[in-house]
Amino acid sequence: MNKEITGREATAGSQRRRGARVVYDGVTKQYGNLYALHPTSLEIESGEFFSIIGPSGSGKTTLLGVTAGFIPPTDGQILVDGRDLVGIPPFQRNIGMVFQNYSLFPHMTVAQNIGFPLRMRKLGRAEADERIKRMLGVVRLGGMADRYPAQLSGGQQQRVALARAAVYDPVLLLMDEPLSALDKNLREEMQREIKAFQQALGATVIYVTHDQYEASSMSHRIAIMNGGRVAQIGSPRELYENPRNRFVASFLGEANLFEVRRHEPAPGNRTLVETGQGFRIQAAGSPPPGKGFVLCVRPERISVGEAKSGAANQLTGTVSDVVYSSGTAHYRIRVAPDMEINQKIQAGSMARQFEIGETVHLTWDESDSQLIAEE
Amino acid sequence: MRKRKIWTPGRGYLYLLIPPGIFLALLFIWPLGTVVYQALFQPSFGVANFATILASTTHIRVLLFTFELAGEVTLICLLVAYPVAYVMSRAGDNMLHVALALVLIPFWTSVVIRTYAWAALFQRRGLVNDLLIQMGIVDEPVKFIYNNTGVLIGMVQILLPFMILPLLNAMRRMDMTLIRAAAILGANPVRVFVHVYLPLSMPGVTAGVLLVFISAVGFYVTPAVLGGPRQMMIAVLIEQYVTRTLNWPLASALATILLVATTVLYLVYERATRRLGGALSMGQG
Amino acid sequence: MGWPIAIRLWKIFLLAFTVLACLYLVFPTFVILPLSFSSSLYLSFPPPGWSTQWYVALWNSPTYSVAFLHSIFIGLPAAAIAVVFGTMLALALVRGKVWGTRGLTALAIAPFLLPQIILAIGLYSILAKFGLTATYVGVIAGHAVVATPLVFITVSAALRSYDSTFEMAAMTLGANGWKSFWFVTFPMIRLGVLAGGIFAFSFSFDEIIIALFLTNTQTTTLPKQLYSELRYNMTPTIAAASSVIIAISLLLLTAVALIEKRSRKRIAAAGAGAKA
Repeated sequence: MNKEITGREATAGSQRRRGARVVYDGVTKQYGNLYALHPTSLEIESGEFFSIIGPSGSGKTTLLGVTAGFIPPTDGQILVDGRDLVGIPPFQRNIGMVFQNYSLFPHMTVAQNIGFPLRMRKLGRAEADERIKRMLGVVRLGGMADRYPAQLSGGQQQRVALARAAVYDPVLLLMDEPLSALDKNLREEMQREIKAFQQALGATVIYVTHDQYEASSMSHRIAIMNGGRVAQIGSPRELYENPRNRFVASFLGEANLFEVRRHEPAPGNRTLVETGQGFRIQAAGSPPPGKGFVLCVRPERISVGEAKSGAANQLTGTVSDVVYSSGTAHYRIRVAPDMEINQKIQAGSMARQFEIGETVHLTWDESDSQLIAEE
Repeated sequence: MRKRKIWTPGRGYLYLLIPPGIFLALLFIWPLGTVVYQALFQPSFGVANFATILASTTHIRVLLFTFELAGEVTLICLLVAYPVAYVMSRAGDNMLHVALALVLIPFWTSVVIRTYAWAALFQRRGLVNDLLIQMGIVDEPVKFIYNNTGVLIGMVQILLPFMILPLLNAMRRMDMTLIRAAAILGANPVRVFVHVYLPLSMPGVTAGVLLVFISAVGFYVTPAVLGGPRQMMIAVLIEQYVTRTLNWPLASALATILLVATTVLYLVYERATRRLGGALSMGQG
Repeated sequence: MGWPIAIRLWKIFLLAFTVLACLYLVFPTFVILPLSFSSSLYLSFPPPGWSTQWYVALWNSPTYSVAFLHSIFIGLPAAAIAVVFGTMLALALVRGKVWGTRGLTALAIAPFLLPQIILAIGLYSILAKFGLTATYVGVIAGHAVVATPLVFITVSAALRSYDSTFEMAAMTLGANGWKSFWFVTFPMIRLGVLAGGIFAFSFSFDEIIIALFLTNTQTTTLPKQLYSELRYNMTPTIAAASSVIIAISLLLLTAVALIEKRSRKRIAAAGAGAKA
């Protein structure tokens, strides 16, 4: 798939625009006393594929709306290549946007849809036609120029929406959950297409989604938002392996979280933690500064075995549930009346599978005990 | 941070309100205001006009009769329209279109024509009487019109669509799974109706009732043609004051009473139809 | 009696009741048709014979022809004005973020719901002051005001039938307010505007109360003509005139029904975009 979209096809004939560098400086949105968006500052590099994820109400849609120009911010600046967009109406911002429901004009053909922004910019007929044709080639819908949106499948409509948003070479592309209306297989295929599309164009993309796996697979960096604030920004790997706080740890993937009752330093730059259930667990490093912290262990870092080993961190428990899903076995092990541990392992790499009710021993390395701040 | 004049989405739409606003102010608010003004300020400032109206038994009788008749019309419309709307709401698409056509055809025919049709049917020498006499059922023409009955029959037929449409609207939007749930939980059809269907249809009922009542109170042509001297309604009285006795102050006073009454009812209608999306619950099809 | 039987009987009763009610609704309208072909001078049933004399009389009657022209001459401008202002109101109140939308919507619908006689005498007083009572101005204005809510309702419905993201998309693509309306909004609400316009015209064509007060012998409309004859001179010519009017109204109604059907197909197609 990637081979069919080349940089040359996408940009031949027009000067290649580098993606914009976007800087948010103290962007705020208040409704009365309610902050939909607390003062937010972040920087997005030129040509970066930047995702924003978070639960509903986290402010990600607000941030996108402010960037597009539909929501006037209460305060702050949005600098795109140094130019402040605040106060400029959407139709003068020269950015592209792809919507969740595609928003293809039903009364226009595919070609007319894609040509619409060119018409708004009063581009000559010949050049407009050429650009439309080229764009259709990029999204591989060459023969569909005269069809109407209602005659296309969901995936095809999404590609037309992409073409339309990019045909006038915007330096910034916004995408508002564009794939959530598609079924899973199609979604994965479209993710690859969008990523290739972005790379061919060289544009900066800000991509909002609620699907963390989608964000992880496509983005250079991700911003996780919660309650109107950015909780953390980083590459998908950074966010997963070094979550800054409890919210980020539990939002991305699965996390086993232990409440900390007491803790004391241990030799060799370690910390000994006594959890709410009375377990004593060793962790590498020292606790983070701040109000409180929790201890987090990722499911795939835990080993499950029959016999007690001599490892530092060990828990005993009973298997309460086993779920097998596409080559991975997920175990739930009850280690205390009020706590179950999630463990995950590639099914093929274990000696045997455990049954519900069996007693097992869990171990993990002390460097896999992460101490994470509450907030 | 320096504040700049910010383009807000939707602001352009605000400007769109100005021309129609002026239009309505000039041609709707102003005339209504004039009527109220004339009632209060002519011949001189005061409530003398209203006093005159309330002092005379004829006037009071007309007022009471108007509201009473409007109430009867509304009640009959409700009783007839409810089952009809119910059947229509459960009908398949084709049947629904046929039924809608039948409901809308009279709706789109002028009040004058429909009133004329009733007159032609029920006059002394009208079709029905002719038929009855020919068939020997009666010896003399029966007095169908120029009385309450005639006016009722005419007005109900004209206002029935105004009751059917809001009811139909509400019934079609009803979540039928609630009905099924009630049935599975053990309620027989009568109880399902009384405890579930009826309450759920209340917004439609309220909308229809108010719509019909407000219209009925202001009716002119039908009572004038099909009613006798005892069936005088406010609108007819107003017309007489304007065209015959040229008594503008009294006419305005009566009109003001009508205006106040219907405005109050209209506000009630507005609040009642909130759940159905406001005053637009009358929407066609 | 068991429930199943009772339910069946009840359903039959309901169906019969509905049929009767529908007959009650349409019967008067259709009784006029045979009447108009009666050969006798008086209304009688059964008609002694059939003849088209009343249609001939109608055709030759100067008063009816003139009244017909007046009705058209008044209805078209009134409908046009109603379309313009009704559409503006709908756009402003459905798409705009205005404070007090509910109240303004109620105000927009009020002219149609409140009794027309109040508006009629109010307008008459104002026109009398300016000496305009002998012109078309009053009746066109009155009809336009009362018909505006009709257009407002149909256009509002059309606007609500699709997401405002279409206009948002147009804006990100470079269309300002006016362009986004002309290229995107208007094509999508065109049918609603048309339907509203036909409603408005039909309303004006049939309206009696405002016409009664705001027209005189020089500007009489068809309904007013009918009404006068009705009070003072009932001949079957009225039946013929009524039949013609009914036929016209039915034509208009069919037009609107076809429009709604097309618009429903359009909406389904647009909606398919979001699901596929």
